[in-house]
Amino acid sequence: MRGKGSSSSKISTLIVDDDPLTRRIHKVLLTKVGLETQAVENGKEAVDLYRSGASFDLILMDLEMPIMDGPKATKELRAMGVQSMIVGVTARDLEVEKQMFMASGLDDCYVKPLTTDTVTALVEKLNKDN
Amino acid sequence: MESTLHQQISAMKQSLLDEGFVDGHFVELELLEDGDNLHFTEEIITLFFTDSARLIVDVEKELNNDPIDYSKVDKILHQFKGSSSSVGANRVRLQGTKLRESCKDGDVEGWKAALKQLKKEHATLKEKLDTYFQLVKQLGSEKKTMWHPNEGQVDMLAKNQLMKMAITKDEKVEFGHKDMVKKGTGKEPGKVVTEEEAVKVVSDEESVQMVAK
Repeated sequence: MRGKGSSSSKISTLIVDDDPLTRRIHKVLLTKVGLETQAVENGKEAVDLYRSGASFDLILMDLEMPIMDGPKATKELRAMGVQSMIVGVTARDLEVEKQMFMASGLDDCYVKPLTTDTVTALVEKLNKDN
Repeated sequence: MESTLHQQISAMKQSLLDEGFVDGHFVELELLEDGDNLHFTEEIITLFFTDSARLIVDVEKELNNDPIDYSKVDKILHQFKGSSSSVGANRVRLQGTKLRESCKDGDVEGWKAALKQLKKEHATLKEKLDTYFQLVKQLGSEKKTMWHPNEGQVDMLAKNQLMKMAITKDEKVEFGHKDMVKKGTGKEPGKVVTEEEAVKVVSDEESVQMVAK
């Protein structure tokens, strides 16, 4: 079942990151593997999008962001009943920090930047789950 | 002439990788270039240098404060790590990490030296990549051109498609390229083929099977 953020049968993705460089790279990467993308700059904007009725098959959630960070946004989305795949993306590579982020309700967590192989694996998992 | 320029670009990129100036993430950026994002790598690298230069100024400003707010410094350097990692700026990233560690240890002489080295690495990388992109621009938009892989750089998209097919058939890439190019296009290796011809070869299963035999 495709998210309401998708205008076609393509997988829809929400990029949540305060870094414009990361947003740009991930947008091009995801588009290249055939995904639809939308991007916001912090966790609050992601939550607001869902509150307005949008939904996405996949959310790429940065850890550290102003206004609302990744863990807080993830907890709020899960509390709202959002079942989209939420994948954490962070520059932090300490295991304890990744575990903390995972505990907020992520499906998985990766160190930035994502690679083509990682995105391909996520798409395969999404297709399998659907 | 074009082949020489391609070789020059290829050699320069390999040198950047071998010397650790850039890593695989830089190569990944280039692989994302296509018709819709022709100068994507240069665009991202330009963004990176603008952003990272500002971060270096910010961190130096913080380190010159008295007292130093090391948590603020750490936040800036965390951001710096993220962006340098995203573009594959390897040596810059590593030096940023050294600076961050010195700051965490409160090692004043250590961070002074590390900051100085960071600025140097940053400037060196910028200079090298400016030269690299100048060469790429010089080459123009010949993205549809492909060479025999043993002679020079291959169009990234066509090469990836060919490599995928050759590896699937358990053939060595060099062998696969050579015969697939000849069989599919009728041209001898080393001759220019278009991306459309290369894609045709990949999609022509009969050609690949004959190569596998």
